[in-house]
Amino acid sequence: MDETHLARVMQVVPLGAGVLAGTAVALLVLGYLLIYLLVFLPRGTVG
Amino acid sequence: MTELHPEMHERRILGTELLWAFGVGVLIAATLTMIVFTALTRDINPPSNVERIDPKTLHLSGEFAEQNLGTTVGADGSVTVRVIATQFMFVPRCLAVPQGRRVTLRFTTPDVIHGILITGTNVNTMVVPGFVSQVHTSFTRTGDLLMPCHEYCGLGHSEMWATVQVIPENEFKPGQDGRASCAQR
Repeated sequence: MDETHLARVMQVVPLGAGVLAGTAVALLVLGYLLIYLLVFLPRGTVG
Repeated sequence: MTELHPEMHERRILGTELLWAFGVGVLIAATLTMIVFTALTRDINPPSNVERIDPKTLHLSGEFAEQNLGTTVGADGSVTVRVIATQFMFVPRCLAVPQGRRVTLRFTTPDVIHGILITGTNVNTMVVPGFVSQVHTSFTRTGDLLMPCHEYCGLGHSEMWATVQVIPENEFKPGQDGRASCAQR
């Protein structure tokens, strides 16, 4: 592997990984929040 | 741009990982805060009640004897519903409860593990032989709600369900003995 090429790739890897993982987690959290706020809470008190 | 030292790459990767760990920490803290806030302000908690009962004799006397099953309104106005889950029915099959008032639901079983949920509410618990499952709730909407067994309990499991009849507060009139049943409607 050409060192220059590797260096170029390594420069964008952290950003790409962050965007990919961030989007996946954001979608997951959004789904959780929607169910929590629109389904779970309106179903009322329990304990 | 291209001639970064390998150490620089590692530092950037480490920086990204630390940032990610911080972000995940914030998410976990926010989720826990939301759960605690809901528990404190809206009284939504996981039901937790550890109470033992002898499954062999529970039908003979005491709280779960036949005459005590169903809805009872105490002298202080508290509403308690006692139900036995057994293969393959609930006793009684219809529960009358008032709308908008705190209700205590108490379940037990003489045979195998069952589970109950009430549709459209957060009521959901296992019913385990030897224990009393207790759930507090308040029904916000009137009407008939389905209460099926949600834990496979044998060949008749799919036939095992009851109805929760939520009655408007002004129509909920227990008898002299404090008992209320679906038949009053």
